[in-house]
Amino acid sequence: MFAAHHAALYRYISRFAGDRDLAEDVVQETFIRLAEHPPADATAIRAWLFTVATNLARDSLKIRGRRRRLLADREGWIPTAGPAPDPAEALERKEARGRVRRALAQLSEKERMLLLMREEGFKHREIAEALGTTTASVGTLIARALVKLAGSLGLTNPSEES
Amino acid sequence: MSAGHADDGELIRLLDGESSADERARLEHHLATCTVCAARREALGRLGGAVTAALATGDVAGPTARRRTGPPARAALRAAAVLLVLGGGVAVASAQPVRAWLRERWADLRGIVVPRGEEGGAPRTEPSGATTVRFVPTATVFTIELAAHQDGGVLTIEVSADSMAAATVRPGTRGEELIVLPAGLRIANRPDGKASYDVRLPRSVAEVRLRIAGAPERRLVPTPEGHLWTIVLDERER
Repeated sequence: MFAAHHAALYRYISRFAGDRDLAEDVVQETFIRLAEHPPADATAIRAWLFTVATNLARDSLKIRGRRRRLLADREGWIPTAGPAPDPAEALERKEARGRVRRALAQLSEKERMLLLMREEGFKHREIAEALGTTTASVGTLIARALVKLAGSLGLTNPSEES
Repeated sequence: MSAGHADDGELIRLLDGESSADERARLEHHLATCTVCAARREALGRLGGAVTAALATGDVAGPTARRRTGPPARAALRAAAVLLVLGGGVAVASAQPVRAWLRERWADLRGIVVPRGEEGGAPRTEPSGATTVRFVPTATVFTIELAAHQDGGVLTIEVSADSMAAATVRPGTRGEELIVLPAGLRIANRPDGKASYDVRLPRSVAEVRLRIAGAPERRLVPTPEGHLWTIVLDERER
């Protein structure tokens, strides 16, 4: 179970939330919940995992936002020792992550879920269930979100090609 | 279709293999003769590929990808949670469901904690009474949580050149539990305990987060050469 879903779930949540630490915590908590309260429908565990993780990430983002505001003036006490390894590589990765994170942040939460669940290979029916919409509308919603994200990333819009 | 052309939703369904047989046949018939729609399908396909590549570029490496040491076949399995009950063989038959679930799967999970072919096997208790478990962290950020301060004892955290991690409890007389999680270690201890704990982590761990008894989290960042911290667990001595 863990082997089958962990990597994809981590990837999805880290993209959705734009925060790898949060993603690690959320994925860990999601699997603990799976162990404690598995879904009744054993055939839908993958969709269950992604839905639960999305909800946990959403809640965590709210809590972290409040906590960061409260602790903003207390960051100085945190002890550190030594610089981060390979600063140039770290900076490059940080810039790439920032670019994608900013583009994803310009999407609505629904649009992010659509595109990221599609990236993970979910069926339109499963995406529709997770979003509370109809299967028939998913294709259109994906197309809109795709064009919007591509625009934010500076990629070519197919409307301009045709 | 509108105005004789396929709409984007239909093209996405076609690209994703989500069209019904009828819809697929109709669209493919149309695309064979409509250069506008054929070009748009190609463009949407390319755009999807470009977005996929961009997302991958922006990804931080996942726990599995980040770890390059250790047997790859076991990479994803490592992160399953494993519970060890130390000290006098405390029974867990009446424990919470998660613990029961983990206990039932201990035989399978043991291979995660100590990869086959490597030194170890089950958690080892030495003549001194210390018990050690070896495992492989799955993330560069490793969290250590202690349920309580204690009447005595210390926690040492060492980041070294070892490829595997290890946690030792000495002497473990209060039923202390070490819970090895994908990206961390929980130490279920008691305020009246005096056990000490040694945690050794590989250099792949870039940051250690320490939480004790719900106090604010401390972040410990090792130098590239490694690092050793000693934390006194008796608040009165700190």
